[in-house]
Amino acid sequence: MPKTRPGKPQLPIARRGLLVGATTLGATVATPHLVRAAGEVTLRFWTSQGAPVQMAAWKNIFRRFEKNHPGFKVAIELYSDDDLWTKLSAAFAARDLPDLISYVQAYTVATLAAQDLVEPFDDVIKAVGENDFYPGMRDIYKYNGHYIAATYNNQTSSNLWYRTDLLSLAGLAPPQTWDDQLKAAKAMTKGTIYGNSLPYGRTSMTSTMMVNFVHQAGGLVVNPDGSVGFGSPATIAALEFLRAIFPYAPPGATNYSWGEVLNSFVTGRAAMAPYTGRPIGIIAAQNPKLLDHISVVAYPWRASGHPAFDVPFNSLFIPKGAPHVAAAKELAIALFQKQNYLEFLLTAPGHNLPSLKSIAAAPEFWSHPLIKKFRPQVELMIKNTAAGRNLVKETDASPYNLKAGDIFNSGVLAETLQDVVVNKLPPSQAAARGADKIANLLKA
Amino acid sequence: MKQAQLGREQLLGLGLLAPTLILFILLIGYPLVDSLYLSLQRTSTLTLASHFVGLGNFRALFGDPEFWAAFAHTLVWTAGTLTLQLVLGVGMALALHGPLFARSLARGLVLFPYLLPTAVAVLVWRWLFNDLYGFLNYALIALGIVAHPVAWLSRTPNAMISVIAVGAWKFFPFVVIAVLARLQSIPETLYEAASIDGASPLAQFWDITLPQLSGVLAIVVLLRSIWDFKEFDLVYLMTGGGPGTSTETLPILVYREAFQLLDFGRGAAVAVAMLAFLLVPFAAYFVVIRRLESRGT
Amino acid sequence: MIRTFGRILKNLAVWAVVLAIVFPLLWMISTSLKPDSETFALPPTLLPLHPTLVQFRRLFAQTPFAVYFINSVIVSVATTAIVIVVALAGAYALVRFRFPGRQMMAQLTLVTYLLPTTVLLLPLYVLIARVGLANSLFGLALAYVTFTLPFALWLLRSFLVGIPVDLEEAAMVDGAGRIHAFVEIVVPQALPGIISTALFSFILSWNEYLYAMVFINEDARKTLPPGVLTMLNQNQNVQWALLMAASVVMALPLVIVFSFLQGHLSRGFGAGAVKG
Repeated sequence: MPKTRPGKPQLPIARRGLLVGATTLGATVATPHLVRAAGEVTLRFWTSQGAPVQMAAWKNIFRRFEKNHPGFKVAIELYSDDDLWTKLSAAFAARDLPDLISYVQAYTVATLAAQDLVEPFDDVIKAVGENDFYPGMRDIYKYNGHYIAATYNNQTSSNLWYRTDLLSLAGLAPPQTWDDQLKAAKAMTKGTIYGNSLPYGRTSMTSTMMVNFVHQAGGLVVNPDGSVGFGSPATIAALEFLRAIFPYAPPGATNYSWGEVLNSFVTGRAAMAPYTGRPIGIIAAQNPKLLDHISVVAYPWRASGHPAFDVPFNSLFIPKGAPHVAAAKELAIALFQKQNYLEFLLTAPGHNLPSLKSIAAAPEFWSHPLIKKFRPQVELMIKNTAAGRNLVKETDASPYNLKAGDIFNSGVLAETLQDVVVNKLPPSQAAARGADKIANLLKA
Repeated sequence: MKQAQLGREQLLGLGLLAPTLILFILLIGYPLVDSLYLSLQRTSTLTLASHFVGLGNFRALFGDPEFWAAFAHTLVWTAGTLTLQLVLGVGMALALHGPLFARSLARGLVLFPYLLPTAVAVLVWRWLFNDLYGFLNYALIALGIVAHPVAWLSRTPNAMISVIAVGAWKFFPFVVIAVLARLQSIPETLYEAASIDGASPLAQFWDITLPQLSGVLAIVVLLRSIWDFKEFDLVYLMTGGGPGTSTETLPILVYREAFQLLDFGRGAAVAVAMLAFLLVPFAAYFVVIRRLESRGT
Repeated sequence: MIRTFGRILKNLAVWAVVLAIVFPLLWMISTSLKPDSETFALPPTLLPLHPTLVQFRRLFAQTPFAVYFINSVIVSVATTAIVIVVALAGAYALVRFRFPGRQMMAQLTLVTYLLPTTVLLLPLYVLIARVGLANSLFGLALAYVTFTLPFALWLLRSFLVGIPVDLEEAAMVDGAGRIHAFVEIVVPQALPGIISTALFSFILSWNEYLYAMVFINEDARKTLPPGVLTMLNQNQNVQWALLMAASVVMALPLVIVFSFLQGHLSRGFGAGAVKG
């Protein structure tokens, strides 16, 4: 598509030039968005992964695709978590949809599936290899007998990254239960260091972590029979723990989301923080002197609860109404092709965890220098992620929760936590309020 | 001959006005009416499927404490930032009107916050307010004014105060421009006469400057109050409405209802409620303009 | 003696306030010249210890910033051009011609500002998409016209009201047509008002975030505000120095140009606004 760049016009002082200038500008700028050479098709690909190293990987992958599929071009369109719903709504409303959407979480896909806004994905799953997928990561997207999406890669923020040097200075072992974690947070908070970084803001990370905490306390957000589990003693215990450990978080924690939590840990100001493997790559690049002093354990759980791992099941799916469904499926299959798949996974080594067994066993995956260095940690995170669940299906006995997206997007999970630490409500009251809101959402 | 010319004149006039009218009706009128219509529906933002609920959205809204809280927050935000904008704006305009070293440079520099895209202003202030590395906290601690880092945006009422202050910083140059222009057209002779009569500078300000400024101040107050009331970008990008909902203003509530709770009808209803409220300053504007016009020309 | 001292004090006080207002700009520039490691140094340094241009190099080499910049220029200039032409014609019509409804239209121009942008967003987007202008800079410019045109019309009208009609009438008596009189006489007189209107429209378009974020999906067509903010929200470590470099490049050109033209800005607003 020709990208015309008019020379910057003078300020409209010339009288006759005014009208001429305006029309010329209008004409050059009004390139309708799908003018192509005859026969050439552009596939629109949505992703939230737009860091420079990832954009470079996407471009390589798509160049290979374009070579293998002459007549097709792929255009990358970036979104961020905060504006996904706005853009998606606008796209559906205007019937102006992309061909393939990536990195959307399971509960979002569920919301769309509930409104019949997703194309069947069986062809892609079969072409990639139905049995090559980890069963959990494959079946999470089975709905009404069809596959509606594929898990492209996975993470879990239910890993606790910690500073080995600070922990040994405090004479403590890596925490296993919440009580251990509270003790460690207190001991490591001194000087300019905060013992424990957590998101307490009304953000997507907080909501994600809340699902973890409720599960780790032994509870559920929605029970298998469809009733609300959020008002249970387990939730109250989780809120009490989060309130107890709040003083050891950085002062801005009530606004924290992903970027801020990560930043506090990789710059060395927080001794503990939840994340998948991103700290590895970022510390290596931006704060290498910390690289030998970090390690990870499963996120601590309530003593009477159990370890729990919420995972997003980052998806690939085709929205209903996409202009080029068949080609989009080809593109999706290409993304799972070994060379392409590895190239993308390794843009965030140790953070993007594969959903295909063959790739998880591939020597090329493990030979990346950072993954090699942190092999035990990455293996642990893969193990944790494989046991992961999502709000969409909290237990094996739970049915597919189509309202999971509504629950998440309404912010009720994060709001409940904010009620406790910002509005100073007693946990029992906050949990009851949250449970009421969820009940209303389930009813609506 | 004159009749024909008059008819041609009218046509020419309407012709010149036509593009404006077309754009208004198409791009402003239609979405406005559509929004009013949608406020009477239960509409899913995702599918735009809707069914008529009459005043149901409004009834639910007026019974919802979150709506009234957002309304209160909007009033606090608007009143707070507008007052600061006026005080800072008039003060700075007066300072830039009189003799000043490198006055042209000062006038240019003072415009800076207004020129900045809101997105950039928010980035810079969030960086200044940063809890771990922000310069403000460091300076305050170094000067011994506070002992611990201040949570500028993550505690109440700090967040609202911070947002009001940044809003004032961002938009006060608008007031400066308007007031400075008016100051430059007040005849010097008025002040000279007053000095001869022995009036103090303060008295001159009260008796000469302020009355002369009343016209432009009325307009500035009305425009800025409408624009501040409607402001979405600045508050949303600074705090997202948080912590909790302590900085959630009505525009943010519209956005939340429409694009996070995916209930477009309710979002439209909040917007219509905002419009109804804004009719008050707007009506006041008409009254003031009419009075000024009858007094002036 | 005391008077000079008082004047020096006044100068110092005013300049202290000006510098306080401008401090964020200085801090922005300072941070943009720091390497990443120094950005997170404690205590934070006012002046960079190891000033470097690496952030700017990264900005243009590794991010699509240059593309965003060009797109912002295109959209802002397009919006301004459309608005000037349409508003000037419309304001002239409202001021010089008599036709029914003239007064009412003049007074209703600002009503359009009463509804918040977040709600106009979706119907407007659907409209623009239906004519095939979704994801296009021209579509975005049209959207921007919706909130710049009313103010431009109001501003230009109040400015034109202050221009005496005698000169045009004299020219027309001499045989010049209406349009000719307009172009040769009115436009030069109205120039300060036109420039003010142009600057206000440009600023409003350059700064806008929400519509740009929704209307434009393709990265190659993004404008600066959503483009730069997406860089912030990449779920990764927030790279403040890079963001400050982006902020500097977004802000400085405007500041420099407008410092020179700020005289026109005041004049444009002044004469018109006074008469209301």
